[in-house]
Amino acid sequence: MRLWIVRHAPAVDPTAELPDAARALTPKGRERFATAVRGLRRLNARFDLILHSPLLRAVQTAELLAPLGQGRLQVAPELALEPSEDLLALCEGQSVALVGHEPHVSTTVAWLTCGWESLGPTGAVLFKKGAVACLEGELRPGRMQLRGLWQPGVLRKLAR
Amino acid sequence: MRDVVSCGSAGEVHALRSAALRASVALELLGWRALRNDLRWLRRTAGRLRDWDVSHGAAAPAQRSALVQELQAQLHAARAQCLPEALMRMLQTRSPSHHLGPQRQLQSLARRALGTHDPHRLRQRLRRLRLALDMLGLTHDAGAMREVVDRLGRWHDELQAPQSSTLDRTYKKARRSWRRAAPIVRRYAS
Repeated sequence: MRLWIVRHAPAVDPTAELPDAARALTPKGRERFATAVRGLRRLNARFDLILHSPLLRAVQTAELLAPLGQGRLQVAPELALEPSEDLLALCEGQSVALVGHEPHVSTTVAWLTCGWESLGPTGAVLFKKGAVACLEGELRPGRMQLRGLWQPGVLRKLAR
Repeated sequence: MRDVVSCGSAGEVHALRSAALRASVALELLGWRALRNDLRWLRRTAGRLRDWDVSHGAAAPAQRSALVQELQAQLHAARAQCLPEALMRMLQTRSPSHHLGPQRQLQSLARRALGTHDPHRLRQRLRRLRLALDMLGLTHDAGAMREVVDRLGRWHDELQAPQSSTLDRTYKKARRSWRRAAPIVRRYAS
């Protein structure tokens, strides 16, 4: 199986009046990620299923990924939490995209490739907003291989 | 949506399915694809209980009770619990940039309705079209759709009833309603 771990695109900054869950993508963030999706298409990224956290910025990011999917988008509250076996149980198909948030996206990569449950204070995986990692292998902790990690700027360059 | 099913009554199940369908049509009009599969899942989950009620009525209360418990368990699951707020946030945001506007969505809904000869599918698709027309304030045309949806529904129910004496009359009423509504649907489809 292939797992595409996606950090949501750039969103508006948090404020006292705006709940974190309601932070939408910025117009520039939307536009840039839409370009990055074209870069993903050139990498032949295609998804049987797109799972996304229920927070607005993740829902909007998943919406932008939808053209690469088979029309199957599904909300997964597990993606707003630390990675778990419950999350893995939702991954149906050969190629699944997970749209979530830091620090959980980088923790997910570390957990599935090395079996680590924590990255510590410095973090071993740099995941900018809009970055995508591709893992391949058996969907179990420590059994997947990192096939690629693309920061959003690289994806946008690929789109040209 | 979250608290709507407490005892699993037919009214509660209908309210849940109706709310999920309305939300789905609203998302479609706004051009969003996200969350629509989740709403379909919710409708189908509640639909199993509805189908039971249609087939069995008040019979086999123990089995019905088990289905109610299953539905409530699904509604308490994280996926259903997060839906209402996620929906509200989506419905308040701007449509995606590729969205061509609600008129094009209406056209798509109308074309889908014209694209089937199966009365049950026609009824489902006209129901979506009717909701969309209502949401856009096109109440006169929505009324025409409501009439044909109702009459198709009655005919469909009569088809399930053994030895119905009014089947032919119900069918003719449904057909007349469709003939009145069809030009409206074609207008939106063009």
